Amino acid sequence: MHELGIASDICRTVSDFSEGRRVESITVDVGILAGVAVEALDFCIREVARDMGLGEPEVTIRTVSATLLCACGHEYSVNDMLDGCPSCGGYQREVRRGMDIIVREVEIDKGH
Amino acid sequence: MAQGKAAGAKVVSKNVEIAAANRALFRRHGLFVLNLIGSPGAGKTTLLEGTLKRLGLKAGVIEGDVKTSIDAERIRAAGAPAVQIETQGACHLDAAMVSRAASELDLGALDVLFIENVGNLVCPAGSDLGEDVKVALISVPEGDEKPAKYPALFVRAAVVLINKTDLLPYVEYSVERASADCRKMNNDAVVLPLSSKTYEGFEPWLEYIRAGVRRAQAKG
Repeated sequence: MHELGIASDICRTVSDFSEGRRVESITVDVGILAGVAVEALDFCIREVARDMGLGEPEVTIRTVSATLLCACGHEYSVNDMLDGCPSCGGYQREVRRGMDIIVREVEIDKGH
Repeated sequence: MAQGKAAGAKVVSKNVEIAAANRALFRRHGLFVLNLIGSPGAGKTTLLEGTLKRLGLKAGVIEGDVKTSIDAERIRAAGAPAVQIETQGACHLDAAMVSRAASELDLGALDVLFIENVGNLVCPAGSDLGEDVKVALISVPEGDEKPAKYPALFVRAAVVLINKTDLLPYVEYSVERASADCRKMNNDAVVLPLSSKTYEGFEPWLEYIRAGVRRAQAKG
């Protein structure tokens, strides 16, 4: 259970953007290889946001597949790392996306 | 009225900055640093005891546990300086904990530093400590499906040690399956079956560490 720390990092990122304004919603993309429990993260973001004075934003967490670049040049997405390249069947590949946590969208209330 | 705006900001944690500082510190000392990750009972401390006795290099250990300093005492008994971190419940080490622990070691006197993470296959994977390599330690009695079940760790581990091979005659376990799954997660992973009890398969592991130390000293 380390989602509280990650939620704090996310809310700091949001807070840098919102600069004290009330936050209406936060959309976060979590890669399948980030090692994060989505339900726990959702709960923690709400708690930390309130605690940091960001308001009571709607929280949407989207799970993002891993994007891999194969040595054969084919780029593709998987939800299961045991699946090989659909083009050549190989596993010599580089993870391009799917390890990170990204704050995709923040909505702020301009009236505050 | 709500004003929408796409941020697209990668979440950079404070941990990343502290890990970078740790890495710079370790590099200045020409140290090779390994972050050892495995389940409770996989044999992390026993592996280190055997490694310290046979490596023939100056090694230090940072021991991470939720509670107790039992493991650090075992490491000191094996002849290496050890600093215990008690996380008091936290599920993995973070870079700040390692930074504080490293300040208690004479880094200039060491060739190699082992960081034994809290026993857990999930949480330590995403937390950079400033190490050169993550080493995943799995063991035969845990079952050969561990690499398939914990992709976040195995895509990041440069080395996978399959420990307790002395138990293979008694346990249903396919080293081939575990190794193949590790290579699907990370095609470049070095997979080494070994036993910390009989020391079978230990020499390639020790040679891997020595090669890492040579590289680190050339850079440092």
